[in-house]
Amino acid sequence: MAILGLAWKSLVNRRATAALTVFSIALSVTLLVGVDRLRHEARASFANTISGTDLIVGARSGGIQLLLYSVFRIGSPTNNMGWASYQDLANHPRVAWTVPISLGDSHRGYRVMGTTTAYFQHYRYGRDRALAFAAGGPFDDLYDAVLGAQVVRQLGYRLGDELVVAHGAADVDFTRHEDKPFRVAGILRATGTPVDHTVHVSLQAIEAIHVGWQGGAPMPGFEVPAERLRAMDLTPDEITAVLVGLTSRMAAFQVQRYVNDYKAEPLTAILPGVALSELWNLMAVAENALLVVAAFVVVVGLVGMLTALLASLNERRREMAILRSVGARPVHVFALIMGEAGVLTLGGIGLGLALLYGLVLSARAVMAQHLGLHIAVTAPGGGEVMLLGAVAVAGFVVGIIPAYRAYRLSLADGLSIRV
Amino acid sequence: MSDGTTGTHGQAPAGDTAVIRIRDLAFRWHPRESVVLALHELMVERGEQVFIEGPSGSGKSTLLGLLAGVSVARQGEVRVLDRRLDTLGAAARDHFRAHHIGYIFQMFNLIPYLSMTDNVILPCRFSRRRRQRALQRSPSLEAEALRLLGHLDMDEPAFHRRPVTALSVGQQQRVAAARALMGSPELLIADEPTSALDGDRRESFLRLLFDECRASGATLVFVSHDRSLEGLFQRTIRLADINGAVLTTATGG
Repeated sequence: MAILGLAWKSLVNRRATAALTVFSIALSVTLLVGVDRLRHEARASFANTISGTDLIVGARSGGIQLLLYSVFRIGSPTNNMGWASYQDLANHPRVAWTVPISLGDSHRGYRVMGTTTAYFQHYRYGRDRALAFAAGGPFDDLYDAVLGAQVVRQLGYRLGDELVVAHGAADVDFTRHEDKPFRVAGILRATGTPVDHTVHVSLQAIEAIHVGWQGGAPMPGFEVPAERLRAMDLTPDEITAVLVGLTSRMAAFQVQRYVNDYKAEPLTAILPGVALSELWNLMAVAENALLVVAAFVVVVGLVGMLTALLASLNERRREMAILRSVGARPVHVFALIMGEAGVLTLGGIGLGLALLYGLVLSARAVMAQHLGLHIAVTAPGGGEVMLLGAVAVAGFVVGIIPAYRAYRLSLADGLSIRV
Repeated sequence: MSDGTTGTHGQAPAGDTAVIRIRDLAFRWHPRESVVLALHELMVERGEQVFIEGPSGSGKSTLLGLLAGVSVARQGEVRVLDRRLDTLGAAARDHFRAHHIGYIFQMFNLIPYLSMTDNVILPCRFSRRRRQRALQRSPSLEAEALRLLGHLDMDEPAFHRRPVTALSVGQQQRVAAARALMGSPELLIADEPTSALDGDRRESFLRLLFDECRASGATLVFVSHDRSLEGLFQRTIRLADINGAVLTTATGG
């Protein structure tokens, strides 16, 4: 143990070099653990893009495709599902609630989604977080719209502003629903989910703006004045998909089978969690590549330590001879250098963690607000402890190189001091 | 006694009181290389203060390495304190050195990152025996270190706060002497410790060293090429005269 005291004092004596070495290891550790944590938070955040919804039901298609257009508003549905099928599903005894959604229109690059006010009540993201209004409230009038946070940030709308919805995903002049402008009735808080990029209107509004349309274009002579539509029956014939909440999670497979075997129309029901993790696995390559890069940065940090220790050895041969003269054995010399490598590595890990927590604490508010990424301040998890353990082991393994060299030198030099 | 042994006290007595006893030694660095040190017999008595004189190349460093147990003789017998160093293993020789030998180098004796007292205490970190001996004399290791430094005129408080690298060469050598004496080892080996000092300081340093060795009963083996110091010692051994190895080149001192 005397040797560890010596190692410590020797490092304190060379504190400038030692501090730089510790700092470079610390930065690499911060990067490694930070990337790992961000990776897990991103995965958790992604997996929680939609939570609390037990099933998503749409026309027969692939699970990921259904997930992509119903939750991420990516791509277009190939088919819609009938209103009658929706009614059957909503009346299933195991179904607690349903949120029908209807897609197909857009507003200046943002998707417009028709739904019911049940959406604001039942949609959950993250760890059971409900949608919250930054201003206004759910749509009330037929021509009310509720905007996601990103739509407002990019387009600068305020409550009461008017906006015009375009037919289809592309905003082309002649297919705008110009005769039926919407009024901004509510603005949602940022969620970090596709909700931020969505313009929400009622299902009836989607129906209303398409009255008199055929094949994706208004039919000349069939224009209906916006005010007259209020008196009409605006129950849709078709919707795009349904978010379903069940009376019990246990019923998920039973209802899924009911939907998949539904005779009147070919339908697909997916478990959102399963489809989300399938989708995430498609991106796992990029995620792992990031971690590999971070691991290489740690290697660079440790090589820096190796360089510093090896470079110091030659000028320390005198010190080794003095130690040998007072009875130190070559293994003591080995332990001295190992001790220094250990102090540098562990110091780097400790400082790296401190840096990481400092960063998380100072950046979490900003990340939650702008990215919707909620990073919890928790003790290092099992995976992180493994990573840190791996860094420590790597540090000691790297330390063996200069320690063994010092051992060889002190064996060869003995008490004769060579400069 | 051996050829080339001269001294004021005549022949070195033989017997059980010998601290160093070398017989029929032939040392070579490598089995295929030639012999660099060949000693028929070399003996140093307990409590003696012996001057081993030799020009560079006469085998001084080799001899010191053998006595300190860093090198090991494959031919002949090297006894220190009645222990056969040539038959001990490497770890046992290191322990032996830690317990029984104080060593002073020519210069740069101190570990730069340790304080003066920590440098003096250092041998006690590697030898329980020397720690216990130091604690028999003083209540703590620090107190014993300061006591020894005081005897060597190094107890001024101003020295304690300064890094050891800021001390003068003479001061550093006195700290090194205090370290070698710490824990009262039986044998003190000094390898040209005065060569960096000028005349007056050289002699005052030696007198301090003699006094301390006498006080702790240590045997002093002092190696140097400087014949002017000879008169201060009880006995002088001329290494060049007793080394039977034919040295064609001066290698390694």
